[in-house]
Amino acid sequence: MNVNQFLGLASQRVAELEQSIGQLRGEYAKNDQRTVELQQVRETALTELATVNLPGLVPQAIAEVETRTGYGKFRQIDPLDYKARERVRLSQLIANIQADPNFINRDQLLDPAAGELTLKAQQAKQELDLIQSAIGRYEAEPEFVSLFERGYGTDDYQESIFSLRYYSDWRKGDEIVEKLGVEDFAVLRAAYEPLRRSRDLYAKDFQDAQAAIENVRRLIAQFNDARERLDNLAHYVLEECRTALREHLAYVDREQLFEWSKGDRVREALVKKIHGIEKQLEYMKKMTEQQFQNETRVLSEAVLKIKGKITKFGRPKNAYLTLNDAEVQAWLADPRQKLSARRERFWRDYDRVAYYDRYDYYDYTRDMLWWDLMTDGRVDGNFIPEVYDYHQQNPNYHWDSGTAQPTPSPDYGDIPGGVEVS
Amino acid sequence: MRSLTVVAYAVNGAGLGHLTRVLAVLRWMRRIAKCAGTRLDAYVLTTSEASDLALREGFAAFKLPSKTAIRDAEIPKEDYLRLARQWIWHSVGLLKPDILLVDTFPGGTFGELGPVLDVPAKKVFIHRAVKDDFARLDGFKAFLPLYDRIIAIEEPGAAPTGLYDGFEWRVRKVGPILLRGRDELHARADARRRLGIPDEAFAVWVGAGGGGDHTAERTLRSIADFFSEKNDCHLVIGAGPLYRGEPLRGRNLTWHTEPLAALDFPGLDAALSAAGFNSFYELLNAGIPSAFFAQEKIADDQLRRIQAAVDAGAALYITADSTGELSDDALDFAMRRLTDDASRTALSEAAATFVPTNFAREAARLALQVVIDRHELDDAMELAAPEFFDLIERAQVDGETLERALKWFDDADDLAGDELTVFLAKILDGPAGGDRLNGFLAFAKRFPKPTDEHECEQLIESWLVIQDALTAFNNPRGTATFLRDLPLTRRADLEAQTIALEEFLKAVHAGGETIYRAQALIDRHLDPSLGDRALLVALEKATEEVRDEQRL
Repeated sequence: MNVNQFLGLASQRVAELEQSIGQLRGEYAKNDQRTVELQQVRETALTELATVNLPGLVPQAIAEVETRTGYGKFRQIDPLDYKARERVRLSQLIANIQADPNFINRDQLLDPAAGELTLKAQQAKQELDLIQSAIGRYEAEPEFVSLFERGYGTDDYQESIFSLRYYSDWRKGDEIVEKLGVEDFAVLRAAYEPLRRSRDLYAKDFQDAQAAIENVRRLIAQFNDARERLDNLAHYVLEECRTALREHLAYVDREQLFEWSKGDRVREALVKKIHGIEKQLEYMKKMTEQQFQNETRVLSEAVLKIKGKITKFGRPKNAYLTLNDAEVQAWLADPRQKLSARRERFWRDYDRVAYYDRYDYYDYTRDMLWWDLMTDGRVDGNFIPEVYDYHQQNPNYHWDSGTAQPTPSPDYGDIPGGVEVS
Repeated sequence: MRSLTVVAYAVNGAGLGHLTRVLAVLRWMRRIAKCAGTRLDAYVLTTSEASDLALREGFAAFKLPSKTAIRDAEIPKEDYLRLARQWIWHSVGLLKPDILLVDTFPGGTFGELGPVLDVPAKKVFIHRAVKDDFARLDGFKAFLPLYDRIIAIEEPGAAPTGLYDGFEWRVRKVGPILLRGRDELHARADARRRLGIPDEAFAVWVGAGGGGDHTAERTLRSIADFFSEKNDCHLVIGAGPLYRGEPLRGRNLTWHTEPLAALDFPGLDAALSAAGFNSFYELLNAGIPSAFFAQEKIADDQLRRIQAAVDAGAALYITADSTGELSDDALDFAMRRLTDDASRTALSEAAATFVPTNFAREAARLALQVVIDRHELDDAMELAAPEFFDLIERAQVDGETLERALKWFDDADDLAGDELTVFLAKILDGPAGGDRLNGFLAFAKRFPKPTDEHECEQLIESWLVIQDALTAFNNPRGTATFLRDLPLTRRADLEAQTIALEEFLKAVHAGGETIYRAQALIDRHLDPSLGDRALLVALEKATEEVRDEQRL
């Protein structure tokens, strides 16, 4: 094979590999999708756990929250007291709104056809539009407003005769005067100034009317909200308490939470489920990061190698070389096939973790790894810090796949057959 | 972290002085090495029958039977010596020490160290004075030149030996080496409580060394008999861990066989004791008015030791007969002096002057000097003061945490050892000091390492503010997680973050919330698009939310 043929093939392979690198992220979209799914499942489970722990606003349930979850806020702020205080506050707020003239006359003020404020706003808008159309011929001219505001044509004009701006203003002023057919800029100023003042006044009227309308609407909204809240106060307070409890549950140490939940199957199952999902999310992220980085590295290295050959054989002194076909094939070997096979294996392992759902198998009383439970100890997880650290600290640990129960063997050191005797 | 392997060899039969002394030196070697960023892997090879002392001090000991034990077991001595020589040679060979530390007998007691002394390790010999005729033996002096460093313990009253001719440059002289110095002993009230001494009683220590001497039982019994009618005295009989006789029981009597008895010496009013190296110097270092009697030993000249103290007015001498018994007259004479206030004060002051300090730290420095660079060792010594380790031990800081802390502070320029001790004291002040130090390290790693004292102080002050706020939650596990996940940033102002965080935590706590909810609130309000200000804004909003909830 001559060098030109090689360079053509090599460039083509580089383009293909670079394209593959570019598309690599997309190959892992499945993980993004599964992550979102699991996050949703976790959110639901957390909500369920909050509901189980606070089924209603009854003293017994409230009293048990701290024992079962470690959340002590309700000891300090009793939800039932809070509900009572909130009832008083809302009733007072509703009474205040109902006594406000703006709320009392809301229909008269806001009627779309004949409302006092509606009409006032409409009228101000009409005046504003009218004057805006008159003023428009001046303001449509670029630089007119700037010249006007800087006092062009008056004694207040400050530009120095030695500045370029002075001559630019002069030219622009003359152009506008000529275009609008008046004698000089002073005439334009005299006509524009009163119109501008009127426009500002009408604009303020319009804004005031709008603000007054907004104020009445806000009162109405506030009243409706307060009414709605008061009518369903028990529901709202319960939801707020659950939300606060749920936020606590989202972060509380899982082992501790399980300990608190002990003896209650529903709570225990939910804690395990949440914990398991969190571990799944953690492992999935690590797994895909690891696989993605490996693939990127392999492809990038292949690209670099081929580019090196292109540089080498692209030199004029090598232009007439004949290359060995077998060597060329080795240089241009496509790593994607191997990667594809590896990825297939990766997805099999990934699916084991990502679609695991036997959270109830986890046993907090045993020193075990979620990783081993999910993979049945068949996948090397030492790239995950938690797994690596655990194996470092327990060199004799092994997963007993038969019973789905881990059996850490006693640490007898490296002596075969060593036994501990007291 | 680099490591240093030390093998210490201590031969003991009827006592535990040699073992105690090597442990005292190893204890300080480990401390100093730690301050020099080095892990000390220390092994003790000993024939002492009280090797659990090593365990108590946190050292691994390999034990050979003592010759006394072999004799009692009726094992042919030759068989044992053959085995012991092989065992020691193989052990040292397998352990491959960087330093071989030997006490008192440079070649061992039956030449067992001879083959060992050609290992590549640096050899350090602790030379406690031995009787002249023993020192002149070839089996003693011929081994001395094989050591790279000889740490000679200068005992008051001992004549120069002239044993080091030709290699004096390898010799360094120190005072008595003790396992615990005066400052490390228990307070008097604690000590008396631990020993079971009634408040009003006159407490007398009665000791016969490690307990292994064949006269020990007779000695202790004769003293106990003397005190049997003296109801105002409380005897603490320090029989020693090696005592094998009948224990003495009775009213006004505490029977003590535990090692490290010296810890409770401040609880005593007087002592009647054999003048073995450890008992003698420990009692005098603690300033206890004491009367000593001599036990007959092969190598140890106890009488000479007593004479030196008597000459200095630091102790009294009482004679014991060849069976170890002390006569009532001698005891009566000694007790009259020991109970007289003026005499006791004079003895106590002279004793404290006679043995003013514990040289274990200095001996450890001299031992390490053979393998650690001098400047590095000087730096480590500056930090490795007794106060520093007292602080670390009281706070129960584990070795790993201390190592991380020292590494962290290491980057602060010009930070002297005492300054570091002050800083650590601030951090460790309060219960669960180890947790506090861990918390500080978790907090501090978010910020650039301090480069001077001022920066160190600033960071510590900030931490103390936050720690106070976190302690209120009474949830160490939760606060550790909170700190770990808290997005503190080195790019935002430390003081501003501290103030905002303190305010937030106080608000959260005042609202009856948990540290977990605090975490949830910060995460919910955290807007990463705000960059360096994200945490400050989140804290501000979260504080506002918590306060709003409280207002309702």
